[in-house]
Amino acid sequence: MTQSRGRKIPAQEIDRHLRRAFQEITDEALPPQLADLLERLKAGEAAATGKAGREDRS
Amino acid sequence: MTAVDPREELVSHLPAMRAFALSLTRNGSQADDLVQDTVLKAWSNIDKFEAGTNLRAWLFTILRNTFYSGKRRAHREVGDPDGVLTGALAEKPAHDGRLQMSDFLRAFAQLPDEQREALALVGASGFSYEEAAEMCGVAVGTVKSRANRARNRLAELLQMDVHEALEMTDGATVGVLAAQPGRHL
Repeated sequence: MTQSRGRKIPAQEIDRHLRRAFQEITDEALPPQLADLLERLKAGEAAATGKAGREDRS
Repeated sequence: MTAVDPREELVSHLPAMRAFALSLTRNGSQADDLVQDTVLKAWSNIDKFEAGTNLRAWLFTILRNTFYSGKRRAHREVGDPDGVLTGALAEKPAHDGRLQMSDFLRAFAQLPDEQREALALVGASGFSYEEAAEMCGVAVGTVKSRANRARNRLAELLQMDVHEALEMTDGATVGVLAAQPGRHL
């Protein structure tokens, strides 16, 4: 069985550390492949919608 | 009032999804791949999202399900890859009187998947225990138990003493988080 050497860290302290670690990640710029992904998906859908519209009119 | 297409809101959730993915995979490039897979699934299944409900919770649920599906598949194919990673990260924290963020993250990376997930959801991402339980498909008490065991295990791993100041070293934090592509959380 493992034991802590001193008292336990308060739960709030653990969570505060985690929130700070997550905040540092969320503050980073998105990598290009993720930043571009949604634009590519939107463009693909727009193209598909346009093609369907043209087929409906023909 | 015209309903907003939830796909327009996806981009605002990407940073939080990355952080959650990193907490699960403990690897930068795998985390980005996981987010990408999640976005593709969400985009193609957006009709299944219930308007007015929590989009971030829906995205996180897809992300964690994708992670565990991939992990089960990888386990069948190559055994226990996480065991290697966990072993590599299982160095005893070096204490210099202050808790460095690098020590904290190293300890966090050693937690079992389910404990890391519970703490990432309720401790770091701000979800309630009820929301986290629904996302993980388990009882609320199970999430509480996992989160509490995670906190206790972290305290053990960090060997915190009552007199040790709980401070972080910014340089260490930046160093750990900036290491690409093999950074760990």
